[in-house]
Amino acid sequence: MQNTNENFSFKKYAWTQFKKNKIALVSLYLLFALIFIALFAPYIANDRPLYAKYEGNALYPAFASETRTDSIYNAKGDFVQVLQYDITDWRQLNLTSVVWAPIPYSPGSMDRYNRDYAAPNGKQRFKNAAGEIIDIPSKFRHKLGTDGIGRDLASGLIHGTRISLMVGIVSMGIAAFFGIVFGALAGFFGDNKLKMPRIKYHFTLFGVFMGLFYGFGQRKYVLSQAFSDGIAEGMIAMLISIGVVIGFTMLFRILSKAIKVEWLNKEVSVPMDTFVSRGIELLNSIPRILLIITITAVVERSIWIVMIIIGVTGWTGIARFTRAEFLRIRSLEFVQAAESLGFSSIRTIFKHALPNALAPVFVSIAFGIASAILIESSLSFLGIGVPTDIVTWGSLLNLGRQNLEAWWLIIYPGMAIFLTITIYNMIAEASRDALDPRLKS
Amino acid sequence: MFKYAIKRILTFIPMLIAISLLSFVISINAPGDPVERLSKAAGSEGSAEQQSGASKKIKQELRKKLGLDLPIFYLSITDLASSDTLYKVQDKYHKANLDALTHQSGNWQAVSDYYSSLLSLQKAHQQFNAKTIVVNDTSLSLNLVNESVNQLGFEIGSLLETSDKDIVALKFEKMNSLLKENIFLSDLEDPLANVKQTRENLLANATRWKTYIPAINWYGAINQYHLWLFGDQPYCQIYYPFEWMERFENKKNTKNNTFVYSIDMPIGGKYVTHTHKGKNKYGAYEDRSKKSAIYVGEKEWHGLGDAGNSSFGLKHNFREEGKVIGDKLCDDSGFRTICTIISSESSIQNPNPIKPKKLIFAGFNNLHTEGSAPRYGLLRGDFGISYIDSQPIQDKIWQKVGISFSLSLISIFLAYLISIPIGIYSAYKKDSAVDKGMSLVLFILYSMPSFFVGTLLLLQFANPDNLSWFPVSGIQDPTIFDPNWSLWMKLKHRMPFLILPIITYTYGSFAFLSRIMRIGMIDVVSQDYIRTARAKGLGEGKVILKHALRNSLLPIITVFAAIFPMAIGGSIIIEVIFSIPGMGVEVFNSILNYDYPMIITVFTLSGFLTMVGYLVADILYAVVDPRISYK
Repeated sequence: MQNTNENFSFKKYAWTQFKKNKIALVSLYLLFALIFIALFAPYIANDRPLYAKYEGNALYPAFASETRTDSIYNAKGDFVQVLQYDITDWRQLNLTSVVWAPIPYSPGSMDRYNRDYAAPNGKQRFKNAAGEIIDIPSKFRHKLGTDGIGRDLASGLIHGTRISLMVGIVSMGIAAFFGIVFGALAGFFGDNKLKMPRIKYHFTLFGVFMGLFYGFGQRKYVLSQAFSDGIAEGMIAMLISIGVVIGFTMLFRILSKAIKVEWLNKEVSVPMDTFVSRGIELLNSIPRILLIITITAVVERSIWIVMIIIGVTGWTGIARFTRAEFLRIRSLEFVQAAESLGFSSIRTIFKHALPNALAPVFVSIAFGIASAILIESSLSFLGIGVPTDIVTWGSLLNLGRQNLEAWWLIIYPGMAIFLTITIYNMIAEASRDALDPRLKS
Repeated sequence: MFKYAIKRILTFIPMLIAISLLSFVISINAPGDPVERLSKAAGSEGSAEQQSGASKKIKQELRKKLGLDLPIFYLSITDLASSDTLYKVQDKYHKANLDALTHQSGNWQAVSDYYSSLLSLQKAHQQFNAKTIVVNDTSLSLNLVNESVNQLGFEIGSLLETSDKDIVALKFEKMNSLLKENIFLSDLEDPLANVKQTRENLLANATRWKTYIPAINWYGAINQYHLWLFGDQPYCQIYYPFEWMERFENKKNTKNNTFVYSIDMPIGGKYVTHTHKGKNKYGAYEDRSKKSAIYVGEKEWHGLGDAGNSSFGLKHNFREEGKVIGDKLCDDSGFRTICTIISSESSIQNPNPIKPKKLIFAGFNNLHTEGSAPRYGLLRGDFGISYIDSQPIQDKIWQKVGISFSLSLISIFLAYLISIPIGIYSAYKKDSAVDKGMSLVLFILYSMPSFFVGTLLLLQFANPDNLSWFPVSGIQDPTIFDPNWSLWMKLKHRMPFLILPIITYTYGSFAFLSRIMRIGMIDVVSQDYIRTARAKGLGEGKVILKHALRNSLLPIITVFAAIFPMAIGGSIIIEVIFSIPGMGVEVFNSILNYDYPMIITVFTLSGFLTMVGYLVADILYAVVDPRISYK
């Protein structure tokens, strides 16, 4: 008996519980399949062949960078032509041997012989190497049809997987970061556990203000210049700014120690919980989709900005769960032990308390991913926020709405969105049951 | 209960302020210049020259109408180098450039000198007339002259908008060579030299250290945010015992070389003239302004913009020939000014001496200029004007709010009607095959995006290829619909249009509600008091419907709170799919057309209404569950 208790691992237990739910298990496998598709999208759907032999040269166009340019010489060493990979029509070349991607179309490339909504099972045309227009060979058939300007739907769906999953992961990554940090601080400290001398409290606030002034106010031109140079430079400049803010805060905290007046050194408690709860309340009081739409209306159109906005507006749920967990955990023995051993609060929170609070947070993140994907596809369905040249599931479905005859543009992208959301919801629900048996319904 | 409601409403106030601040921040960060948008929408006719003159005037009026000539907020946090009057510069790009230049050099005085020298260069350039040059010097061709004049104009225009050192140097080089090559441009040499000199001065006298010292500027209640929120009209009826007449005499008193500004006020049956004198036109204004209680400071303003814009307050000493006849004390408390006239020992021989009277003036009375529409502020339902057609937003939205509100009301009602029995049933028959099947179906429904369902319904039921049962879009057939029909006829006519949208509307909340209802019910059924009820022999129906149901209703009340914001924001997706002319489509269109006032209005209103929804939900909680006591 003693033995089994020692070997008992909560993770193992949760996993066995999870496995009992067959639908969730299938969902998990499907999720792996989606991740696989997303990772290998350029090799699954690409109008450049995976391997091609042209005039005796072995080429791997799909694996090369898009803008690569090669000068091709034939076996005798004579110059044949210059191939720029992204604009060459590989189907027109006289290739001696070739391996095409399973779907030989890129999401953005327009097949001008199959414009105007070529149906999956309808007549499709093809221009062969000899330049004749023929019935399409089954290899090149648009198996899920095309849209109005001849873009292949299957390829769009494959590449859309990438965007959908990325939206889920990036935005929920941001949301999880904010949610966990804010929730943990609010739950752990509450309204009266974080105490510091009055002077330190006010100096800290002042330090944050000065940090913002020097880090962002005075660096606004540096920052905007850096962001216009590129996303990497922008991020570095941003990190420097954040560093300045932290530096000033620290500086003023240290300075506050120099002042020794009794009244100023009286301990006051910092209402951490109030700060966070009010922030949550404020964000929740605005319908989220409207908030996101309003912000996307005033900023530049970019898929990354959409992800960031979804993340920044989506942390409240996670924060609430984390806060509730921390409220429970902070009175447990092991946290009190950590505190009485003199560990710093930061160490106690993130090293000892947090790992024990993650289970419900994980569930809320999984639900959050589903809703992030739903929001992104709603936005691209409406044509808001996401640039028009990026093919996403939502934008494909929107094309179908505008032309109801093209049923394939409605059914397939809609099913893709639906399936992905269901998968995440199923996994989230099953892991909630597995991680917290009390909640099982 | 009443006390609790009051308490809740009080806690809303900071939230409402926060929401209004958030939407204001978003609105002032909206790209583009609203004045440009609106003046384009207004349009103007006439020749190019007339047009530029007219459009400039229109723009100025619009700027005033929108309150863009005011500071943005009550205060601003800048650095020591920045000017606190920068907001008076009219052009948005010039403003940005001046800010950047000040940030580079830290010397606002030099920057403003440079800017005004550039402006005078531009003015000199605008007076250039290519035709007269060609007439005077026949060796030149009109096209060539035009080209170089335009080229120069372009260089000046871009200099006004750029702060990058290299580009500025390049522009100077280009202008130099243009002047060298074209002798007829020699009139511009002096202004250009002036610009160069001020530029050098700017570079030489940089005080960058100033940019590292933070400074807070206080602007008081006359600012864009305040105007947006409270408007410029009085909140109370004014008791205006006298009309005063403003007479700005532009006349020049030749003897003293002064300008006179005077206000005539009928006090005690006779007009009392209240005069200010100044060395010049603006001096007279200045003199007047100095006595003001609300006076926007001009401490670092160097002759840019229109000094006549400066607002003045209401604190005047009423004098008649040097004697104080009445003193008006004004108390500026934010959005209104309360003035009291205290009668002093008057020298006027008047049978009806002035009694102390309390006057309430609108703080913005003076700010409201003739010709521009009065603004009542967000709090009184004035949401500004749409950028698309310059119509007041509040006039545009109410009918649409009605449509969206009735749709969401019907669908929420239907959702409750369906989901409560389903929830009860599956909780009652927990773990039966029916329950399990129902749970799975509900779960799948729950994951179906509403835009997919809506499009599928259209594809299946409003499509000539499949079943053409319902019309595709709109809520009525304009060829048949007659606004004079009775309500019943209208409903009958609209019914087929509304069925698909209502299904789409309903199913999402229905799946969600049923799930919540089921969970809540299961929780309640396992409680002790249910066991007690069963044990004392109550019928199963009574146990479930009377004892359990009431307690399981709690969670689904929350959903009720969502109705209000839904009415104002509409369900954008569903309305767009079915082309229902409600608020959702309105929001969608305003986003496509960058109509920011509309977006911000909807945003703010739905924030406010969500708070109201929370309040209603909280009160409903208390009604349904007496255990909840709020202390």
